[in-house]
Amino acid sequence: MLPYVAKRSVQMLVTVFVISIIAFIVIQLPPGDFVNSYLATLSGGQIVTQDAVAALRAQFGLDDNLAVQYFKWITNLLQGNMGISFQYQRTVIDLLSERLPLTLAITIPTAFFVYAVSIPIGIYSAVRQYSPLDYVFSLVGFIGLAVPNFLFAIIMIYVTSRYFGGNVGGLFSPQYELAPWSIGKVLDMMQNMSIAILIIGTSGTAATIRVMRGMLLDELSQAYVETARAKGLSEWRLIMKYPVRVAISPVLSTIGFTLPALISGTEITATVLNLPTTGPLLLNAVRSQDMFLAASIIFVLSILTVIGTFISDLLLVWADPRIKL
Amino acid sequence: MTQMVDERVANMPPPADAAEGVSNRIISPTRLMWWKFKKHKLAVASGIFLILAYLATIFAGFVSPYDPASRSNNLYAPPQGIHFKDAEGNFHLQPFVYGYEMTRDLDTLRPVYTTDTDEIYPLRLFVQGESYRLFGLFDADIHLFGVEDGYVHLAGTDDFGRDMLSRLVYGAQISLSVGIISVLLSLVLGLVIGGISGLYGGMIDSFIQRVIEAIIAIPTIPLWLGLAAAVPRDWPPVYQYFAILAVLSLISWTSTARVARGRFLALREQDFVTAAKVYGASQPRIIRKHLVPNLMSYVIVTLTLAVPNIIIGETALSFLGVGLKPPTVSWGVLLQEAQSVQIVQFYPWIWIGPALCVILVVLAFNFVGDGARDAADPFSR
Amino acid sequence: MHKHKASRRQFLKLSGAAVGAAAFSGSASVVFGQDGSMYSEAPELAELVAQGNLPPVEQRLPGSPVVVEPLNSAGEYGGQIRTGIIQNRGFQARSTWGPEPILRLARDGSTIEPNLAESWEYTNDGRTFVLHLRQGLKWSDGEPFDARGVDFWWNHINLNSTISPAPMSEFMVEGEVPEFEMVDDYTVQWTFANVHANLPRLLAHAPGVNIVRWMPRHYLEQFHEDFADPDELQAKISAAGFQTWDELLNNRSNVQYGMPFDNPDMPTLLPYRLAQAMNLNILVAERNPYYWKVDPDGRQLPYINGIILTNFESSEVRDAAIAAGELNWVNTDTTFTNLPLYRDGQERGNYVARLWLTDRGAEHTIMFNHTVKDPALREIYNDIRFKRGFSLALDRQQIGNVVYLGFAVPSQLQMIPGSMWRNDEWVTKDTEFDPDAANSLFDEAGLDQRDGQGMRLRPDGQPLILNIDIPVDDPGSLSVAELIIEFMREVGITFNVRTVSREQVRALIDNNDMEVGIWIGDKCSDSMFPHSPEWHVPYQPTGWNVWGMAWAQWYATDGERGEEPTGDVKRVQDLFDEMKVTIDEARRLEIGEEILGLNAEHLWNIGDVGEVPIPVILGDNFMNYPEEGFTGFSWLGNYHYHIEQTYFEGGAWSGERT
Repeated sequence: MLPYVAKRSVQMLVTVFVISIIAFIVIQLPPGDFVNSYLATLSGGQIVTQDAVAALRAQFGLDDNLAVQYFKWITNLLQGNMGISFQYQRTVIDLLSERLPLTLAITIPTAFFVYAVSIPIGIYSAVRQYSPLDYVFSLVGFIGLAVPNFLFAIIMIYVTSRYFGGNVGGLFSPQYELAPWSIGKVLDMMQNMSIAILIIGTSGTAATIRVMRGMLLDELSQAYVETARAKGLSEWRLIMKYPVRVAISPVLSTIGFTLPALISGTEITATVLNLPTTGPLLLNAVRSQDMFLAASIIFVLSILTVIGTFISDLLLVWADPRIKL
Repeated sequence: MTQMVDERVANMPPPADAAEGVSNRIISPTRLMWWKFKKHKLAVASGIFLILAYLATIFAGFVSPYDPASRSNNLYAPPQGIHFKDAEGNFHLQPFVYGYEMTRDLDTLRPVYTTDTDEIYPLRLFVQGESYRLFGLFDADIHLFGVEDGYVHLAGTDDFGRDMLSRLVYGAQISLSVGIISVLLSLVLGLVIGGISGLYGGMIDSFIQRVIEAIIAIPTIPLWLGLAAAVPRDWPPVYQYFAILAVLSLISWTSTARVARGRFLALREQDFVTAAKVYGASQPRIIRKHLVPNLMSYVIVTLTLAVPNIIIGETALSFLGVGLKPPTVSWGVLLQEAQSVQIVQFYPWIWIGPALCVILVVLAFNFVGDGARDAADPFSR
Repeated sequence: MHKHKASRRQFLKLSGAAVGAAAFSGSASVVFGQDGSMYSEAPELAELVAQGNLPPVEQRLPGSPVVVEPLNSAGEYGGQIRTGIIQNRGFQARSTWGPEPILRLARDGSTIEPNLAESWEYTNDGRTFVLHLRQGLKWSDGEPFDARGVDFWWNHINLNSTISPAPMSEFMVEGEVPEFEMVDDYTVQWTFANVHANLPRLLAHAPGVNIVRWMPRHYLEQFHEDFADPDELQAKISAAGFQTWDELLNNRSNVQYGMPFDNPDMPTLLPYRLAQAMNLNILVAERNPYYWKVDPDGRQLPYINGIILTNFESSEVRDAAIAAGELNWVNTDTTFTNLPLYRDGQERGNYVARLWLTDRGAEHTIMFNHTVKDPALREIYNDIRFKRGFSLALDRQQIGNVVYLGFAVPSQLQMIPGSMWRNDEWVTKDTEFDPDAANSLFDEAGLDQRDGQGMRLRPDGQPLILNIDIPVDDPGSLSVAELIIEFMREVGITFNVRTVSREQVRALIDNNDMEVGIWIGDKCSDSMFPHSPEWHVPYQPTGWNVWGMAWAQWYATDGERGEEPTGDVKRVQDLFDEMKVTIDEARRLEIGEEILGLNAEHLWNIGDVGEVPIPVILGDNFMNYPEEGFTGFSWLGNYHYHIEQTYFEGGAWSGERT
């Protein structure tokens, strides 16, 4: 095991390095640069001369060629400096340390929620295939998949605010915004958070249920299950001991992508809870070509991705001892 | 298929199941599958529904009462109910809809509709209406149903007064075709690359897995924006859209590949694969004949999940300016237009229509998939 | 020669104020008794004074504070403004904190009034502009505001190439940087290459707000290379995680329309100061205890205690929050088409949605790029018959009915109602719906050949396709364009809508690759047009004017890039040049008339509909704000209505939840 971990660690370093180069190139793919998008956001009436445009480019270091820009960024990064964000005029580290903990605080419980709900339901649906509840779960799951998250969020916001007196977006209702911490404030926060987790979790849950159910159905019809059953193993132990461990393989294979996906794609969290998460930050950075900010977030994501796949590989071996890496 | 049955048989403890294995061999597996599939009532019904849906997309001009772009002055009109009994209680043999009149609320300026029970528009089959082009070849003007004078909006109208039902029918043309091709493309890529990775293991596996990590970590948004600028802007919107989806599928195969690889890592240690190798079966043959069948459930589940994803994915694409553009309609475009508080609050039929279509189609695909899976599984009870 | 203490209208109003009847004029100086007994303050501040944590109000106010006449009634202290911005775009909140520019616009939206400066004059044949600052004003930290701050901004910020890539173009005349002089502690002057006639207008607009950011010299010096001790500065830079001093300075002084956005220590002159920087998407501002304006009873403004600003990650959620009654002050980025939503929630949400007008001459301007690269298209787009045909083929009544809730009037892109340059004949020229006339104009313009499907061909036999590029995040333009597709099909023209991301639009314009453009037709007001005639004169290649891209490049680069215009296009550029150096009001009126007349004649812009209002969301007991008003970029929102004199009847918003 140890040599494997050592080998993977070296590979991980190389991968992160390669990703950082590719990412740096990819974020420059869209036409124009930050100065273009900066000009695009200026409200009219502000006159910007050609000289000023050129000087802005020089100030942001955008007139250097790509290799030089990359080299500057990566050497700073290795010294723990991620550069500054052009649009926020703040250090990237400052922005990330504000948003990353918050994002993790929302997304990790959500991820647990998704697995905690979907794996048992998936098992139930497979074991009781074509039972009424199986159909109910399918229907609810597919409704979750077929309604875009954003639309679903708007519907939920409308329904809760109109009929249940909930507040629209935000972690706290207006009356608690400036209030000191109290039991009321905590309850208020938990109520708002649960709506968000429900919305964010729905589509992920539906997908995991389907995968879990399908794979388990395959396993359950395998001969060894019949054998085990014939040998008088209790149904519960029978299912949990082997088929579930094998059937969970697709879930484990992609579990490593969960965290990066939740971090880069949390616009629904941001929308529903009105929280400054990393998702919109990355989207904005990339769209306005706020280079160092975009590159740094992608860098963090790539680290999470390689660690995630590593963990996922270890889990695969753990779940299915037949696998040799 | 026969091969697969053989493997399973080989894996089985002999006494209990041997008889069943033997009896299965008497009829051909394909016929056996069809026979099993037919028993699955919901799957058959869903299959018929899908066939009808595809027929409707082919004959969209005929099925829909109006052109998807033609406007009426009835903006945000709610769906009309179909009646048999009129206001005086008289029964009509032919179903009809009432006309209505739009006024604006003087304070909110919101369109308000009052039903006019004196205006009765009987629904007729095969009525003459707006002309359309069938298969891009023939001009025609006969519609499956409609009214002779007046108007019929069974699913309501949108902000421009366009008939929602017609837009849903035309929207299906793109949502049920273009996206699904790219789903298939990414599935094949994922299975092949993931299969190779899992089957060979070692260096090849390491390399492929690192490539996958790199692809996953690279954000798609700048890629889309870059592509949007690179795709020739003179292409028709559908071509542009397809080009972008094709490139997207070059990225989106990664999770399928991870799953395939995870399964194959386990399966390659199984005796039947070793046996196949010993007998000199080629790699592609081993993947196709021995490993993919073991992933059938996953493939079917992935396909059914990918259909709503790709339809809804359009929404994200148009947000970045690379999606479909008016006047082209698709369910994704319709759902995109529906994402506003105003519509959720006042005009729900605008989002319920497309959402219902997506749900029905996905459920149908799912049930067909379930039926096919059960049918393909020689041991299902 | 051009001795100009204030405009004539302004002067009349000031004289009126002197005899104690400043009925409508926003601000004027009235001398109060020297003992200061006439001043009073909010209870919260009085408490701080009693505790000894704050100097008494008369020491905080200047010797003669500015007196603001309330719009309707004297106010009550108390309450919170609740407002929202979308995706961190701070400019949406600009009039919430009532920007305090060097000069300001009066309530009529166009007259210039004193503000931070109490007067200005032109000397030296008009080439020197002298500014007299108000005396005794204090920053929110109690430090004095005076000419040394202006000197800091000019010499150490504007002319420092590290912090300012180029000197501010609004302060340049004929391409030259003026000579600056600090005459005394309260007087500064600039000597320009020629008369800078638009400077007072610019000082009452965004530039006049933006430069004040750099004037709290006493605070900013510690971050500036020219003043700070190098070792201490380096320590501060490193501690904050930056590399260079300009990054640190930019960060510490970051403001959004005058309001410090990130740093509560940054001094301000606004009615409110930052209490809590954006945290969990909520920013809190509180009353500035050193604010230098009072009401006629000598009560220190502002009346309302503070501002709670929520950043919304999406406009839909912001609109839902409005409808649910969570906000009591929103007047930018609302859309008229959402009126049903806003009005429906009024009663439950304790707010009213008033309808104000904007600075849009027309909701949209459709611009054919007259300098388009394809020569055949260029000929067509320069043909007035083609443009008239296009305009006549638009069914503007339909646009109003479908897109604007039946609440718009056909309009070309001219000045807004009430403007001194408004000309109804030009506004309605070629706006009637007449497809027959359009068809014959197209035929006359050589577009009479048609293909098999009846669509028109260009004279060279190619299909005629009008390619329009629209930013995806502009649904209003997309809706109008969708209707135009249909109107054009009726007259045999293919109108092809292409959507692009906003960033890509910029690149397309810069490379002169846009064939047809559509944009919101704002800035058509007396306060903007004289210095920023974006739509009517091609002068600014970094703007959104599409119809004369190559000509604007030529103008802005002194002929280095782009193409030299001829005829009437050259004429409007020359007229704009003349406007910049002309003080004489009568001549300025003539210049504007000629520019707008040439626009009407050539239809460089084709407008759709005008007079579409914008919903303004106000708490239903929010007082001293007009029933009908104007809001838009021309007034930096609507700062000319003085947020500091608004109040909640009863001391708090009726919709406040407990």
